[in-house]
Amino acid sequence: MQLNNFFSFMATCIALSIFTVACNAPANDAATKAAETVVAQPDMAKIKAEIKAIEDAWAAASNAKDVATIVGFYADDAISMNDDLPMLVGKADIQKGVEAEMARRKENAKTVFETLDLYGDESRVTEVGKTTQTDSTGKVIYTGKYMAVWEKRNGKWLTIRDISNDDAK
Amino acid sequence: MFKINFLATLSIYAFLFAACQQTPEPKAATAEELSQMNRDFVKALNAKDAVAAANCYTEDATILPPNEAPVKGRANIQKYWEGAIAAGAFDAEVATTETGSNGDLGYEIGRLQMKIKMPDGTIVVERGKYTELLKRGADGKWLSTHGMWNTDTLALK
Repeated sequence: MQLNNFFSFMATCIALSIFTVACNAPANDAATKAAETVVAQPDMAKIKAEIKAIEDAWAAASNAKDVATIVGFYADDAISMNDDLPMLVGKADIQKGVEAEMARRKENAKTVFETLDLYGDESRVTEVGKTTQTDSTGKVIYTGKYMAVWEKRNGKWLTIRDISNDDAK
Repeated sequence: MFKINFLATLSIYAFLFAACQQTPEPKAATAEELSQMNRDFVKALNAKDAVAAANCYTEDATILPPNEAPVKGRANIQKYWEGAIAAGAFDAEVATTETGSNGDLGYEIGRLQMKIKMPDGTIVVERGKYTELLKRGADGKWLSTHGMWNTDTLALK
């Protein structure tokens, strides 16, 4: 074997050894795992702030009985599952549901949505939340809960599925 | 010549090293896997086994039943389903309509039907829909972290 080939062969062996060792690092290497975890974690605080901003705008639209704005928070192919009603499939169906809800809504009632839990990543999250409605005196007249699946489409969070129910019998 | 070979070797090494550092794609979950939790749950409920039903949830799970406050923790969830079984719930069925997942988080949406034997002996059939937020455990099994459902009608109110 020529000297140059020998060096080349040795260099290859060393490189492959390093590669093999690097790729087979112990799975319980805490530092490596921690670093990977940090890289993989979505910025949930930022996402939660984005969802909260939409929920606040949603509540404001509800308080103003602004059906068009509320429907705009849904994706075209959204499905909404309200308590004591069949599934509302698609925006046209959801609009009818929102119109009916706004018609039933008490005057001067104020709705607040509170995000309790949020899971997912930058492309899709599931939110668990609480709805509270007060009258003009601040007295709580309704509490309920909801789960919503949000998807980011063209840079905008849209509700693709939601379900809700009442706390009281 | 040696220099060229050495550089080539380094290039191959760099490529292999970069390749081995790629984060593996999370294993995509199938609808079958994501809906298994509810099939197990219904089987347990119909067998009047509240312990097995509660084991379909994570230890820190929350269920959000209609007309009640949220129920938190597996132990309380078990009590809730014990109460439902005692109240006459039987012959539950679920039909998955949709699933989705990213990594170890997923959801299942579906329709449900449950029969309830009323105190006077009559049987009411309740129909509704549900959403389960699911988490995949280290053993690969999906458990519910949040479960919510509601009815299509006012039948039981």
